[in-house]
Amino acid sequence: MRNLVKSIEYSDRQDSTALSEMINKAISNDAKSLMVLACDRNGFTAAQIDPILQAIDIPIFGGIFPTILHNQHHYDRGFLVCSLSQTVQIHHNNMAENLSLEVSAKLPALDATSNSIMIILDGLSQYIDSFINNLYDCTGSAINIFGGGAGSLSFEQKPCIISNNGLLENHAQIVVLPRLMNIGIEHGWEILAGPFMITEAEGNTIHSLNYSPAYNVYKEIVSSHSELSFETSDFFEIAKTFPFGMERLDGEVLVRDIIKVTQDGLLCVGNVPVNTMIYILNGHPQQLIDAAAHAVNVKPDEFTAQTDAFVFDCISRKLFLTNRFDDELHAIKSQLPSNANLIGVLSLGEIANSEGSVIQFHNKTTVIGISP
Amino acid sequence: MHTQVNKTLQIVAIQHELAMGIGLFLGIDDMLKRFMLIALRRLNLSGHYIYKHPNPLQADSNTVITEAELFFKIPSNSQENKDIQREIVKLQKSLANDTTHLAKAQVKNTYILAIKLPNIGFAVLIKQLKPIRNSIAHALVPVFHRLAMSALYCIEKKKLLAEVEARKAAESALRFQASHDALTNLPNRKSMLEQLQQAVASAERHNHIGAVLFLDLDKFKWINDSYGHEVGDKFLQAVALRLQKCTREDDICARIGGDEFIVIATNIGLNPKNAVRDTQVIIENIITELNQKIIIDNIQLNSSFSIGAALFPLDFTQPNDNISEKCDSLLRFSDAAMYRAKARGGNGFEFFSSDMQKASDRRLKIESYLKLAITNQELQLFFQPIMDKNERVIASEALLRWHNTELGDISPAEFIPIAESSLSIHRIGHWVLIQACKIIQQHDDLFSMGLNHISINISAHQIRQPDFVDNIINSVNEYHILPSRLQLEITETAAIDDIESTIEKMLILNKFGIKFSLDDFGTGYSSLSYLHRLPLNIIKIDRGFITGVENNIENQVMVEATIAMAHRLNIQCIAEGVETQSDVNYLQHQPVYGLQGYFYSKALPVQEFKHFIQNKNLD
Repeated sequence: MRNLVKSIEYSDRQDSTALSEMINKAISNDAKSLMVLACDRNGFTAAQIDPILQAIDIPIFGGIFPTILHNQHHYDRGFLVCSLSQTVQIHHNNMAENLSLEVSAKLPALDATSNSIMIILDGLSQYIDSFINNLYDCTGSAINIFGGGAGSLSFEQKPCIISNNGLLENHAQIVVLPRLMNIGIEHGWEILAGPFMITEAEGNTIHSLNYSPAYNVYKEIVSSHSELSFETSDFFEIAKTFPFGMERLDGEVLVRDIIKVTQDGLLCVGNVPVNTMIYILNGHPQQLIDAAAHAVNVKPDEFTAQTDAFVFDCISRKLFLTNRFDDELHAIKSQLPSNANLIGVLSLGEIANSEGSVIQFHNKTTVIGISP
Repeated sequence: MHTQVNKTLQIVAIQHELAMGIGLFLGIDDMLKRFMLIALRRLNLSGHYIYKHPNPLQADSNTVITEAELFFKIPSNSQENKDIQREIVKLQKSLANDTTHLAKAQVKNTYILAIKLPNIGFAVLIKQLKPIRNSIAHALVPVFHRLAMSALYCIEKKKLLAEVEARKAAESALRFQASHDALTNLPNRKSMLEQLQQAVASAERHNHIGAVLFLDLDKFKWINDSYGHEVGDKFLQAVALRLQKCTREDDICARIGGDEFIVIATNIGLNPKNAVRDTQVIIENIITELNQKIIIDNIQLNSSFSIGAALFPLDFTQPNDNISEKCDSLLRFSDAAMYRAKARGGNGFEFFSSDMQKASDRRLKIESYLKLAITNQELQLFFQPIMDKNERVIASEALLRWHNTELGDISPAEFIPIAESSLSIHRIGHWVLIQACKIIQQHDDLFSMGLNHISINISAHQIRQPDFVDNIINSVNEYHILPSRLQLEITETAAIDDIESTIEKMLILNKFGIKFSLDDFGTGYSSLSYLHRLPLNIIKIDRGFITGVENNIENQVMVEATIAMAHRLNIQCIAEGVETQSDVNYLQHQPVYGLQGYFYSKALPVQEFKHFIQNKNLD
């Protein structure tokens, strides 16, 4: 079987003309579908690129992210155009609504042994949880699903999903890849303290832990472990090292990034249901890097000459690892055959289903989908 | 130790998270779905199913398991393979005893855990690759028991709510029925009165003007008689719809009975000068709308309204009356105006005026005094002789006379319609029957002087009564009179109103010996096809054809045709309204059985009638 990824081209230009040129070039080179990953720093707006996207007559998907990845390189400006050798099915769903009838009919009918689903969604939507529930209700655990959240690190929600209809906001893109992808999910964060019971929460905000204000509980624990002071340092600088984790039954821990302190409590990325037991986690750079490498969930002897790897790595891992982030990328790439295509993003949250279980929304995690 | 503490903590944490996930939603679907999602994520399940008995409240503790059916599953699109389905069925059976709350099975890498939901059914948790540890599985049992209790509560609450809703709906329906006309769904009289009171109160408070329109369908009885009650009912329904369509949104349309409707125009403005004009616009809309044909069962029907209008507060004559009294007045005034419109030929309208009030007041008085007329012995039977061509008295028609101390002599033409509409006619009719029987009994000698019978008039109301036949027979028997001496006169209209029943009654009375004459022949709307079916003895040709007949060729045609037709049916004819010699001259040449009219005599009190017979028959 030939590679799904036909070619990957990067441009460091930030203008829509460049994007148009590269897309046309890919099409003229017989691309059957296109994946376009662009950097938020480009400042692409719907007005600029909608006419380009709407004029394309092959399927196109992708998003705008803080950082984009190609092999061992990461870029925070420019864009990647990835040509695919096959036509892919793409469905769009407004995340505030139920799955459309078309999606509900088509997804369960997919052959899980030869298809996988990639999800690119608006990472700042408030409907991520409900969308994932609806999606799982439709697909079940049979088919492998992975992906991540697009958007801006400014946390300002804006159109960030690239589609044939233009730039979309608050949408999820469901891309059916005609390959069975191995999914790897790893993060490397470890339990530092807890458990604590979330006694008050609303949506993504934790108000109280063990019936005490969440910030106070958090601060008390983290202060004794962090070199930074809560009084003088930026909260995110501290919190990026000490996220929350929700324990799952088989010992997995689902990480929850804490973005900021609000008047009411601690704002996280992703839903934190009340009555959940959570832990405060801590991480060491090498553990994270090793974990990312483990996310290559393919044995060396299973690789073929046509390996494609799609990486959704959490932006906050880069913010945590800072200049050691290159090591993480290197660690991932080193697990892949040298001629493997690696394309990916630093995302706002990751999506994947563990083998035989529900689709989860992850934070601070590395999710890799590999077509060996 | 640390590991053991952690394991214990994990069990407690899972129990707590799941137990707290049992929401307080009233809807069982929402409650279960929410719990199932929490369990799915917390326990890393690949599937979660709930099996529920269709009627948990009616099943015992084991049947509720064995007969449980798949109620809810996540993911909803999943199709488990047959091996897994088979295992679930086995687990279901194993749960159907009082001591087993948990059951497990495995199919390759799929682990199935079934947990009883007491009194509801059971839950199935599907996990891939690794089973749920025993300690966790057992820890889930009390949580699912709580879930079952909540679900049962939801079901019972839903049932109770449904019962409450059903009762409310039934009460609402009853309230609706109590205040609405069953045929047209318009407000009924009771509801109309309440709304009229509100409208009048509002008009007085806000100084605006309103109107009450009393609508009576013209010739509705003819539609009923010609096409039957089913068509008549549908026609009324169509009229009601038309009325609602052509009146304003705030106006109230009501059906108060039969073919009578009320429209209350709650607010027609502030200016008294424009009140009549503005009300007229509403009336004309109604007239225009109803003048258009209505098609019922492929029959094209036309009708019209006679409409009477009274304005409030302008038409109030007693400003100190309370609201209820004012409303009564409005209805009387608009009714009086309607009667005027009807008297002028229908398909029109009249506004109430003070002279109508006098007529209305008189009508009320008559209605009121009539109720006591029998008790006060104000009624009397007079007898008008019926002559043969030799001027001998052969029969007599008994006619009712009423003298009231306040109103004086009141013509039957005036009080009989009022008696009929107020249903005093039943008592009066019975009184006339008894009086006639008494007189026949007491003046037996009249019959030896040549009198054949005395006839009394029977109204349509009387003949419709279920005890009509028994009443007549009992009265005749009570006074021991020969049935042939009493004859009953009915009009065409009274005869054909439910003709089958009328014929049946007439035949019974015929057999008993009482005969019938058809009064005012030629004035009804009926067809002649019924005539041969009625067991009649005599047809009385209406005075309209008789008075002045010698000089009226058309009337002669009618009279002669009537006589010829009657004779072919072995029916005798009496000519009514004989007033002049020329009438007599003409009728002398016609084969009539009898002649009646002022030419011979007016109606006389019994003693004077007796003297009249003696003079005429004993010479």
